[in-house]
Amino acid sequence: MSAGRLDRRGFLIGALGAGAAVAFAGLRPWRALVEIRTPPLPARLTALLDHRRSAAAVGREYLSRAAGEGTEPGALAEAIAAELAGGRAAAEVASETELRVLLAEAIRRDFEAERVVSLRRWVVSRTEARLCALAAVGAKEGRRAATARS
Amino acid sequence: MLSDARRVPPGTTIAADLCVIGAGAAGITIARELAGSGLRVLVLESGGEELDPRTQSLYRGRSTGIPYFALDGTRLRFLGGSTNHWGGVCRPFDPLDFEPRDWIPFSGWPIRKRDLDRYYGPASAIVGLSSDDFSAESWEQRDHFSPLDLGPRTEPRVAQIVDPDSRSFGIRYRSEIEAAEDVDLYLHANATEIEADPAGGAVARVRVATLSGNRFSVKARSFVLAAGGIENPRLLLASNRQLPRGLGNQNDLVGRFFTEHPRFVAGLVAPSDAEIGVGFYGVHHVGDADIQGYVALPEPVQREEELVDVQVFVHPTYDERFAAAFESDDVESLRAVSRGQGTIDEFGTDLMNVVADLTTFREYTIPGAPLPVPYPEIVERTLEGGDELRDHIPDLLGDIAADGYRRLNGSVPLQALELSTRLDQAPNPESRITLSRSRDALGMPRAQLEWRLSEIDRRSAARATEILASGFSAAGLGRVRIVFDDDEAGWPDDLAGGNHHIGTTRMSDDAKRGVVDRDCRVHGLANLFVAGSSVFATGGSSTPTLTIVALALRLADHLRGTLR
Repeated sequence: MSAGRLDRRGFLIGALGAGAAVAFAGLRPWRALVEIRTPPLPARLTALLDHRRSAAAVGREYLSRAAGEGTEPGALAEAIAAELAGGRAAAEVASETELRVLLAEAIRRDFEAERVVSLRRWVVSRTEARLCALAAVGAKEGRRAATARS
Repeated sequence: MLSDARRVPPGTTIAADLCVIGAGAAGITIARELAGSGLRVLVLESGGEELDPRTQSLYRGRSTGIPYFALDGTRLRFLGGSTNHWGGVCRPFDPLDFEPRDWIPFSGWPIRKRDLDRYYGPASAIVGLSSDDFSAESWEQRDHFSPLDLGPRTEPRVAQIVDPDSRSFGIRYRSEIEAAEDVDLYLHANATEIEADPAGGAVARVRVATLSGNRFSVKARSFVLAAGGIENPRLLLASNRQLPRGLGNQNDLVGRFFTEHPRFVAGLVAPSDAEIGVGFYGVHHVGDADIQGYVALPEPVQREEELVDVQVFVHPTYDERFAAAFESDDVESLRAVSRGQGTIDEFGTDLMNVVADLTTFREYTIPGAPLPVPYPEIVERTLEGGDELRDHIPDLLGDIAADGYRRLNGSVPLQALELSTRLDQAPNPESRITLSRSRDALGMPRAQLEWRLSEIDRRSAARATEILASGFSAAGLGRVRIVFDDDEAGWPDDLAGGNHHIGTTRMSDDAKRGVVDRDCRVHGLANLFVAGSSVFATGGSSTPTLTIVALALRLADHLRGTLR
């Protein structure tokens, strides 16, 4: 447990540093290549969820209760990224494992600060609720696309 | 000396320095303390040495408020009183319990914790504990189990549990009382009336009746009413020969503020890890003591959030398939396991799937076991149990299976943790004992209880569960479903009390706010005192017996000083 916390802290320091590096990298000519090769943030976030149906179920519940929450994937991803240590910049450069760590830390901070929502009486962190909402929106768009193709 | 009231010549008046009504924890403690002091002490006990249905039926009464235990089942009327079915849980009250808290109406005692501190040590020995150390930190250092780290807005607490064989004051102190030359304890002696003198300023005598039809009186310089939190107000209200509203009831306070320690399941934790160690929260051995840990809100959080004290007990629950294996009549923790409320719904399963996907440092596995597996911590308990070993062989065998299962599969099939809250109910004047129209076999009006709770009780339970939910989740221990929340009308079906009858002759220096003063003397009566939890101004953050005994020791000190 304590080893895990040390690792997490270590990573976060790294993440903040990496965020700064990305900000400066805006001047570099290879930036465009990185952006082309990296999937968009909403897709990277939902890819973390193996139980996509479960996440969508939680997400639908959240969206039905959170009147002010947008349903556009980009906006949801931005809202999630804003809560991560290092913000959007850190999220952009984080590997999948690092992104998991950033999210876990954001969720932990949510609970500590009681930034929570009650979904069917379950106490859920706002970040994890938004992540699930992203999965719900993604699932809906996927169905729409499939319908259009057929 | 023990005597039988049925053999006292009818119409006799017995004289003593002090007459104590009731031989439970408080009455026996006062009698023992004054034994050998040169004072003649007479104790009146309604029952005999064992439970007798006819005597017990004198306790029957009506309950009209929140559903409550049968009034003849929630207390016991024989030598030792309700210590004969006492759970043995002990912990002193906290300093905050005694202080006025402006967010809790009618809170505040006229004494402080420091006034009781010197009595808690001797009280611990009297109730049968081997230690008077109640510091959670101190126990944690010696305990092989640890509390969960639930963050700074919660704190672990520890209660000590008296060995079941030592709990009954009747059994524990019978021979000592029998040998005491200046203590006369009359069995089968029911106090039916406390009679004030013609001016109404002092008690002249107590009228006594037996179920066999004998009647006599006791005159004394002072009297102590120590018959329990329902019977104390009943006897005061029924003693209305000189004062029509009853003794000590000039301000209509006798019987009001009936307080309990309401408890119910308020939350359910879906664990991230099926092997979460929760042994600290079950009754377990540490050295030669039995202790139980629980979770509570620290004083700063209570102040900041304006809550009553809430204590939360963590009970593991298991898959229904395993419940049958946990059935046991004699192991407390196993009974908790088989209560069957701890089930995770479909939405919770979805949520835990998401939690599992996002968990980076723990592996979440949904346990599925081919064998019925009992509670593993019983292994340790059983091995340390010595003489109890034989009784626990079925548990032991099950635990060997559990241990084997854990080794093979890496987890035990923990399904959930129930969060069972216990509240220090806020004082409520509408929650009260009155006299009913029906009468018992001795012609006394029966007690009627209207138990009521307040909005602050509801808010405190809900808010404490929310705080714990964040604590469990932030620590990565799981996610919490709120079973009881603030918006609900009514109270949960599993709401129950703790058989604690508190506050009905509450303590206050102001006769308009309390029935007894800081010395436990009834306002307006020079020589009548009350002992027991009925004098508590608030219910307290812990179970009452240890504080009942501490207060009884304090009262005995006072009586020794005033009667000599």
